[in-house]
Amino acid sequence: MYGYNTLNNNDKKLMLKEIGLETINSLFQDIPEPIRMIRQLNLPQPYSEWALEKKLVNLAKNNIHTDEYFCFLGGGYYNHFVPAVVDAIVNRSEFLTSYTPYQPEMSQGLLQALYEYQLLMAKITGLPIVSSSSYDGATALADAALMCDSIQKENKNQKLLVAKSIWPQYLEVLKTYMSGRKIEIEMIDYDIKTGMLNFDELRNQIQQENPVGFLFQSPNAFGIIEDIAKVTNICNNAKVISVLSFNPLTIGLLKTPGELGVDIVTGEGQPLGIHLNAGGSSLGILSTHSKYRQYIPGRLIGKVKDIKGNPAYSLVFENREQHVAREKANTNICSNQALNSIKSAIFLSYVGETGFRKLAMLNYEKTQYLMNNLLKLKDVELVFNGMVFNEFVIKFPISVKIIIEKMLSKKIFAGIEYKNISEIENTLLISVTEKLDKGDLDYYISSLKEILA
Amino acid sequence: MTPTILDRSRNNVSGHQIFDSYFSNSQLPIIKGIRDKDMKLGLPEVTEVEIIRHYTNLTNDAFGVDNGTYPLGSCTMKYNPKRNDKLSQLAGFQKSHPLQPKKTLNGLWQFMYEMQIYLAELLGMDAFSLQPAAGAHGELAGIYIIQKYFEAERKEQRNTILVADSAHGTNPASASMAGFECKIIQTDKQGLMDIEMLKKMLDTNVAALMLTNPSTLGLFEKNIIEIAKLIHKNGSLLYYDGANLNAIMGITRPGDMGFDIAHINTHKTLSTPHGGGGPGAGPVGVKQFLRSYLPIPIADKNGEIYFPNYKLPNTIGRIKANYGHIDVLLKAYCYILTNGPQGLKETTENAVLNANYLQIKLKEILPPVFNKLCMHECLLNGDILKVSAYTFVKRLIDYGIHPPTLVGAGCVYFSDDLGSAILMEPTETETKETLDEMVMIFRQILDEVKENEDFIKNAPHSKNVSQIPFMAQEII
Repeated sequence: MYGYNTLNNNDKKLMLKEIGLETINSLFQDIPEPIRMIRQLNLPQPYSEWALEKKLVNLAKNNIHTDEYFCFLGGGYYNHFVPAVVDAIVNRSEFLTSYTPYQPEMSQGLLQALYEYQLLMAKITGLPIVSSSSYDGATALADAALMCDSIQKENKNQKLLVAKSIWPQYLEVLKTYMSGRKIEIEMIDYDIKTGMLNFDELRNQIQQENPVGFLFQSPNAFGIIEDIAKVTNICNNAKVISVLSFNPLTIGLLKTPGELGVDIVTGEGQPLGIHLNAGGSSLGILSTHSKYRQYIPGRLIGKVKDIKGNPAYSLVFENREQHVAREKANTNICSNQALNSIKSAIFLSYVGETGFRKLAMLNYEKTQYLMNNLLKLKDVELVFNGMVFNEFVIKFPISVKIIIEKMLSKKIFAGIEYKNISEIENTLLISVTEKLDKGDLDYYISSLKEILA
Repeated sequence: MTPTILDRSRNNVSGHQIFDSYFSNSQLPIIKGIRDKDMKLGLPEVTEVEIIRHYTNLTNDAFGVDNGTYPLGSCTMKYNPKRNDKLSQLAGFQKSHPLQPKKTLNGLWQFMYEMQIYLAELLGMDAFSLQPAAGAHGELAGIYIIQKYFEAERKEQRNTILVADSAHGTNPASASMAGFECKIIQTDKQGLMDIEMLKKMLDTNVAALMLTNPSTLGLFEKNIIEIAKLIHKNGSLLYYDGANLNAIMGITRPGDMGFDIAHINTHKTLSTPHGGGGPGAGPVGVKQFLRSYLPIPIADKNGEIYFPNYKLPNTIGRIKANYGHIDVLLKAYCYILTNGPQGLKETTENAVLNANYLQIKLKEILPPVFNKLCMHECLLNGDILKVSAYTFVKRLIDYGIHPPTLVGAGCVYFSDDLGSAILMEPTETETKETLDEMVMIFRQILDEVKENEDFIKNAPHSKNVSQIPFMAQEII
């Protein structure tokens, strides 16, 4: 007997007899002979518990992780701390091993946790409706794009305007998602001085193209905080749906996107209590106005009445979803990021109103400290002069590849090479989190100074 | 209702330890869109112990596989091994950043490469991408592959996807989402896909047929060889929805049945926890002629060096950021390695044995809809019950058993004539004893119906809330 099978030979004999069969094999009599496997699966023989641990530990050792090296990598995923309370709760098996709460009577606790996620996230997005949930920041943005297409059904001009300054990976995902419905994507450039959107181009393109929506990111792919109110003003005047991809942590410092007039807010929830996990699993935040609720994909948790008239939590508005509406569903999503959304809810409860601001401030201040000190080095320049939150783009006099390599030998992940998107040679996107203390930041500065000398 | 975490908020308390002895400047920076100090978001202020108690109490009003039997048909709620959880949280994976220099993630590429190979062998496909985030996401990737293949290779416009009426809702939804027209093939009297209807529907507009085998009715589509021939003769592709793969591991493989593309739900067959709705993972696999269409990157190997390969000429592009749900996939990898080939086959054998045993033992109370052997799940007829199947199964909650799948209460769909069908999937996890106990409880509930029909009609009676009506009206 291998693996996790629970029947012994005697059980099997009795059960087969009950069914009226002689052999296990005869259970599979409907499977035609020509497609039956006549050999064993060519997979490794079973591992003992300790051999499995050894195998995984060895694989893990072949990665260098962010506790071993100083991490100045961002690009949408950040090495933030994860409070112990988050892991303590989500590793509890009542949540971990449960299915989607299709039976609300025995899932009130799970439903409430998901409902609270919606409540807390709505405070961050500034919009009342939050889905529960999209896969990640990239698919949430793509989901929002499809929402625009559905909301603007009468607009036969299936065109989307998209800021060039969104994460390159997000753009790739967006292109994949839009290819199906043949939605065209037109890019809006950035201002080469500020790194912010080129507003003139945005205004012109909106007028010319009559798009179903405009997608942008803030802080954008250069770390620059956009003038969101100005964007939504332009969009609102032209009745174009505005879609923002944001870093939720920035709201510790900034006004909510909803308050600034954004119609659909999306984002990557990883900064809120979710481990890096080499980039997955994470959390797709998706939020909008009440008037667009029927278009939002994914689960929604709400309140209903039980037969005694008492309030209870339940999945609601299911006739939008695939298991009810099938080919007429507004999207195909079924399994989502439920447990990760609960992580972010616990995280937000943990930091609370004051901690959220403190955390955002720390990230901002440390970023400023590093940036200002790097700029004191000879021939090191800032590429854009727009305001940043937790990352910035620096231009170096020498090859960035060499810098990354030399910093790596000093146990520093120096940043992300950024040629592809800023179109300027030898630039690096450098990111800071609260986990880096002054000593770590000074070590980065002195190491770089040495390399550049 | 239990107070929410927001209801528990009080002034001037906090749970956090957020400070830095050097950086303590509380001067707000001058940024456009700054939120003034007196503009509150409305986040709660609670202490750490209050957070722990709040959420611990919420978990006490939830039900996982670890709490008890979970025969939710088509969801494969099997035991989620603890060693997998533990090993998925090793720092080398959990604390790695996706955009680190490639050579600092050799363990990741090797793991991904091996996982792709194992999945390809398990499903009889030639290549896999681990990127899709869930089963439906794997389907979507598959649909985009189909679309791109007809555009790039065949230079044809094919706009129709065929799905069985018993298919998971995600199948037709995925096809529509990508802009295809969906056409539905009905189930015949034997519970199989109506092959005559299929023949009539095949034309040069049909890009693919999406099929689950065994179907969500728990039956193996035994005409699959002929179906594959018909589909391929029509120049169409055959897509395998891997949701029911637990029924066939080591017995037969989608690739051998003639499927060109397939996804697998690791949170079903490969034991990764469902987390109250996710995250799961839905790797998508293809035959060799479609390898170049897979989402990028896939892990590859050159000599002894593992690396992410972005150079697939016809790739559909990315379907999500980064490489897939690595934390989830690690658990599935551990599951494969713990079981080995024999263990996986026994898993399937026991899952099918358990389902058939349950079907036989419940026969008098709930006769099977199709009077024959089933695969990993059995479809039972709730018509002869004196109360509706909906309320009957709600009583199971009082006995600590999760109700099985019914129309609208699970991820499957039954046509109108199966409106009171009950789909039960015990999985290999249940012992003979727990199955016998479950049968006894069914009998007991039947007796309870005779004694006091209203009592059962209003079940459950042991929870914090009473019965919630089907598709209950939302309170806004």
